[in-house]
Amino acid sequence: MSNPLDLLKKDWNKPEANFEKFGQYELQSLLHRRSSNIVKWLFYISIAELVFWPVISLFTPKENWVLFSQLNLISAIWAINVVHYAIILYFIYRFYKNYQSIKATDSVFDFMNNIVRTRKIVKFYVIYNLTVMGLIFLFFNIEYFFNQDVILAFMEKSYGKISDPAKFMKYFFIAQIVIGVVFLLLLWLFYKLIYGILLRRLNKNYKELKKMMD
Amino acid sequence: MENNFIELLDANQNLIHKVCRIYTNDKDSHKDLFQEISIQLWKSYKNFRGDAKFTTWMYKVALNTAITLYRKNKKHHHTQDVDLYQNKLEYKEYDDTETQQLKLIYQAIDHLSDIEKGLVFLYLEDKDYREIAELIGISVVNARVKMNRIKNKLKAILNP
Repeated sequence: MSNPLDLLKKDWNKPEANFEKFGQYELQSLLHRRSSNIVKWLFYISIAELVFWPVISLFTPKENWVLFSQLNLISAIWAINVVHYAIILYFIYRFYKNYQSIKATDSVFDFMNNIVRTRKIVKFYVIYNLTVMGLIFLFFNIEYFFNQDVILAFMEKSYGKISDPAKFMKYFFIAQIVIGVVFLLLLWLFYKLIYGILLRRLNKNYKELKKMMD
Repeated sequence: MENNFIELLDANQNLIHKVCRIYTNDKDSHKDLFQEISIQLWKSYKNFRGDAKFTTWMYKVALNTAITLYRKNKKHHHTQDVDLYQNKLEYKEYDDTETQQLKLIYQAIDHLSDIEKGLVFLYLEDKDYREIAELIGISVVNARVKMNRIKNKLKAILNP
């Protein structure tokens, strides 16, 4: 076979009649079916992620606020929240701008590039939140460490007299660390899995195009 | 507006069928991709101002959908469908040798990557390297080099 594509090319423009053509009515009904594409999925998952972090912070138990006030942390928490939500708003704005730039009428590379850029914003958002969460976790535990008497008094109020305070505090910190690390790891795995499945094909094609351009 | 669009879609539906032919290998996937491309075209049509050629605009949307947007539905990939599909859609009227050869070429194309399939499609559509480069978003030199590599790759697949 000489050049397979030239052989195919001779045939390529002939077989109009060989495709089962859709009638205009069928075409119209096709347009009104639901689209299932990765940008749509990316959009939904990103929105869920953007909403997830502010929403979980709403679920801080009321008793914790009593403890925070005993530790004189209320103003620090407010300051952290103001900066944190300003950054979240900035991320949402960047996400919206980048998402708007995704247009299927761009070249194949530009189209992929805009999706990858939008995805990167969400990736940084997740990394930012995981880091902030890690830092806040660390900050609180340092505070707890230096104010163990306050923690003990708080716990005794809820659960009664603690017979061995030193042992209790040891287990308290071990539990804090284990829960914190497991939670962060699970979230990280979850992201890896979701994006791994959703964007495997896009990443492969994007890499191939980038390689071609080098 | 919708009626105008449907008329244009109808007049150019063969182009979408050809993209589906390159990217899918069973009837259900062909229809799924056709539908997704049509939906994407319709969504983009609101911003189509006519300053670009309608077919150029269609090529971009169709390729972006096939390469990036479309989520392959794995349950459709039954290998036994391939022969049925090819027999149904193609080349009934040609002699057996040519039919067989074309079938082999399509099977070889199926081994190419999504990007390579896009280049093959544009080559078969008689686009020159400048147009291929513009539609894919690479340089003319890169388009030419890649196309030559694809031709060699296909030859190697067909003549191991």
